[in-house]
Amino acid sequence: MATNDEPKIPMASSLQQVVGALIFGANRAITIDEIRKCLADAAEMDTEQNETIKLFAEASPREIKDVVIGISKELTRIGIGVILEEIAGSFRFQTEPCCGRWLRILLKADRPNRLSHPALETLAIIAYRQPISKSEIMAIRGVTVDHLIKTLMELHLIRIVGRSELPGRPFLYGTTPTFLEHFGLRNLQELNEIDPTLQRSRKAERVAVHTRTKEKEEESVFDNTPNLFTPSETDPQPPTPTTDIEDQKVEEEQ
Amino acid sequence: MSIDDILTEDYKVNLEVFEGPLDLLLYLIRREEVDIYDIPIVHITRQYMDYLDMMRLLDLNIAGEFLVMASTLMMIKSRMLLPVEERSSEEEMDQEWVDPRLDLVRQLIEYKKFKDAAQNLQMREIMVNEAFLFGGDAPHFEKGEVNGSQALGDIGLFDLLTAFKDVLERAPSEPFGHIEPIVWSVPDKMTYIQELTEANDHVRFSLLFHPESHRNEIIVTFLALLELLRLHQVVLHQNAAFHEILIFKAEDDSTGADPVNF
Repeated sequence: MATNDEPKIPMASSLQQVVGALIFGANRAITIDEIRKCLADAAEMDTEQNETIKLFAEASPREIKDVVIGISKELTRIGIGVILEEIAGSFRFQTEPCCGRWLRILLKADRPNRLSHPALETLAIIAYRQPISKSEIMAIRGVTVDHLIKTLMELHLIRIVGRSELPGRPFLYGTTPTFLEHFGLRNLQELNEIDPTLQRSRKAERVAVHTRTKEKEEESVFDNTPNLFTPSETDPQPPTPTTDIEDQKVEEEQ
Repeated sequence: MSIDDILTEDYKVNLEVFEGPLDLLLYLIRREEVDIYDIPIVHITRQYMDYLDMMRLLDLNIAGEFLVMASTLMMIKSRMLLPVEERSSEEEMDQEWVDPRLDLVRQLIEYKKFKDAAQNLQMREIMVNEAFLFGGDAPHFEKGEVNGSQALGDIGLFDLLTAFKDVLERAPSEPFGHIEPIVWSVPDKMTYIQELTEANDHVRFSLLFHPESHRNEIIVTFLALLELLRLHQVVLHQNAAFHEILIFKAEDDSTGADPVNF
């Protein structure tokens, strides 16, 4: 009969331990749901029915999230240059921006390219007004955006999210999860916090704006103001979005 | 006089312009420190036309919308200059006199909001660029992935045009003391600028031009600078808004350089 020579691996003492280890060990951003599933799977696969493992498996998404937030706050508090961030609905460890210059030296990394002002402005318009067509973007910017749209698509920052029902059936554009990552955003709602005057309109309001005719509309924060670049008869009218994009979920692949 | 008259060869600087008329107007409003809610139309229109003339002089690829805006500004200007009697007759007929600038101002204000939002996004982008993941992998764009148009970095096209305008206005039209016509070539001027940036840490934009430079020489020199920017041979910096522009040799690895963006 085997003796108790086998070294016994200690059991995790807190959910926080496991969660932290998972986020670190994953080596990529992971979601609350992935953590939850992992905890549940562990209990299923545990032949010895360990109480702790079972307990962890019962953690709700809310409880897991609270643990993650706890880790994040603690890391920030102790100030070791490593923080836990939520980006595009997932969680990951990263270094603090203030330490970038040293890391760049150690890792021999170049400073990455940044987007130009016209590209950023076009992106901002799409981000706050999506779903939106090219001609609507043009009406706000006052100049064509063809090349910029192409570039932003190639960079996977925007994508086609639908087509208008109206003549010409122009494409409608929206942002991608990569967009959220590139700007360090948790989700699209965070955009409202950044610029409260540019509240992202809800879909219903967007539809309402789109189906209004050229008569003077009443003032509203969400209006596309009437402008001098009125489209000609042959241009597509403001589109009605056909796809359901209430709040952009981050399930789509990149 | 067109560009072709003054260049030795067919040298078109292929600089795409992504800015539009609203960008120019907002730039002028900011620079002239005018109230966006009460734009001095005559003054702004004159400035706008000056910049438009410069862009055409340099043969930049400007969008048709610039010309549309030019005529719109003219129209607003003429309506603003309507004699008072005509305005009151409108009021008598129970029509409120609508400020002819209204539509334009609303469009400018809305666009400005997005420009401000874009600034905020840029700040976030910069912060994200300073963060690193485990092992140094970072979800940043590879160099060269962001291809594109202007190599101007954070300096706007219009800032550069303003600097050019200042130099051009000070130039004499006739060559000082010369009799024979001189033609300048862009490649020669490119070499000239490159030599300066090699020899010095940086070169001040205004010092690229001699006080007695002929107007044509100034234009060719400026085109050479645009070409060097497009080829990423030089980068520009501006320490504060509307201050002197400085020209630096572009580092090979662009450490600490401004965005190559577009």
